[in-house]
Amino acid sequence: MAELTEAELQNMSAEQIAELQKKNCVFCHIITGRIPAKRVFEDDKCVAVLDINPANPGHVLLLPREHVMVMPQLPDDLVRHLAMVTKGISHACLRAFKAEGTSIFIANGGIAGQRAPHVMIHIIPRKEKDGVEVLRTPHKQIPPEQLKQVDDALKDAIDTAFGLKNPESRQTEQEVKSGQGHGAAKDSASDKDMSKGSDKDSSKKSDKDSVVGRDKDSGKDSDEINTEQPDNAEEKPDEGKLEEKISGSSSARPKSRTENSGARDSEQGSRSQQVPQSSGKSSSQNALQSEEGSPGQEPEHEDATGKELSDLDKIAGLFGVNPFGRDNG
Amino acid sequence: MAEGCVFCDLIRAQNVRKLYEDEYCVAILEPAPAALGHILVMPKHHYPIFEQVPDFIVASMFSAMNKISTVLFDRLRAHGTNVLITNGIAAGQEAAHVMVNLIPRREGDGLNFQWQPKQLSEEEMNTSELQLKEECKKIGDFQREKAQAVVLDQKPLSLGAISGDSRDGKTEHDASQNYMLRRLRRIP
Repeated sequence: MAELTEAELQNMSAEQIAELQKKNCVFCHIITGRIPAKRVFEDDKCVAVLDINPANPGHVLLLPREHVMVMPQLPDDLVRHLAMVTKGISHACLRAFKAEGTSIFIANGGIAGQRAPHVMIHIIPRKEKDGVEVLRTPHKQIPPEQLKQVDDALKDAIDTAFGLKNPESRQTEQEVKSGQGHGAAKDSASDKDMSKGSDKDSSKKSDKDSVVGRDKDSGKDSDEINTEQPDNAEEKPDEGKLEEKISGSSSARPKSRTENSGARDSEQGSRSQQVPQSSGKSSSQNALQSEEGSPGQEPEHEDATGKELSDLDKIAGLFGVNPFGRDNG
Repeated sequence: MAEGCVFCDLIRAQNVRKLYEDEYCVAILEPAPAALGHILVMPKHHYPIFEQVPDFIVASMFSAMNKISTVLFDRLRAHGTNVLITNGIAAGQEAAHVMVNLIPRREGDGLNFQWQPKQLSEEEMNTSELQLKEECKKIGDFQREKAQAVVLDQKPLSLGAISGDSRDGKTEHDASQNYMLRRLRRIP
């Protein structure tokens, strides 16, 4: 393919650029078969291949056939389909490699570690101490007030995005509206930013500069939230009350996660020991079983996956929780 | 809901704001986030690992996650997002409740999810391809939500499960009886 000059690129329409990117996309070539790859699964909507630079043996890339750069651009039904295939591949990894777990990873945008302009879902079979420890979630301590601000900002925006906007008062309704307008204006900018980001570093830089220039003080991440504050300032009245609630719950939680698991261990252990002796079920177990029974209703499904479930129970059992509240014997 | 699961408690708690909630899943703000705006999308029911979650719930989790990620771009001005599911203790899962981590990314946020690639021989690649290909043949028959949703709603009201079972049993019984009768009739 002939090299294009800068000027020619400038003059191209958005569709032409998209077409060009599609032509140059390595993963689209892999999907059509022009570039050979080790395919492990394919259907009418997606293809799964082995990564040639795997984090672990059996590292799979799940690619939609459609050329889409980042996940938010995917249509909803395709996302749903990819999710189910992801689960299937993850399960296949557990069975094929006797893995002890899987990491499922998606990067949207160059800054998040995306290398190619094609959506892909990484599915990585994991074992203890396999050297892929970077794929875990770090935890930072964030002041509750700041969390509250983000929570407020997101709640409104998410309600709007899902069409669930339930304005409690006139004030918040206005706030939501202004947020929406703001978001829509931002949308194109961030999209552009994203698409270029994964493609060309230089253009990304300039593009980002323009974005930063437009909203002057969004440079640093901690400041960024403060810039949200003027929007939320009208909401002050009930903030004190809510903040109390949230700070109460959030300060209790992070610590209790680890402590609780220990307590859970012993609690669950003693309960599962009791089970065989007492033929009658405790009320909590009854509750558990009815809960458990509801999602997996379909009898034929239970039968079909009966054997596989025991494998999964082994992995789930590592948490020290009897996963379904039944004894696995 | 399992006893003693921190996240089941969190989902049921009244004083925790749910950013999003539907029939199957809930999204909340991670109280100890990797970055500001770190969101957890979780199934409402208790499943310790990802493979145990029914397909249609996985689908609705991803769908919710994807819509929420557009909000992170719009509202928090994230420059990118990472989606991470740590599945199993070996993968770094911390609590026995499946969750999808949605992490907004910005320049210089100090996060790094870049793994060190391993060099595998052609042979190793081939064997893993074959092994995986075999197992992947089972993919494709996805559980749909239709039947479950009805039973879920009815269950607390009546003896849904039992009547359902007995109904199933009866039809089977009827069928077998008919079959027997037919056979009897066929015998001269």
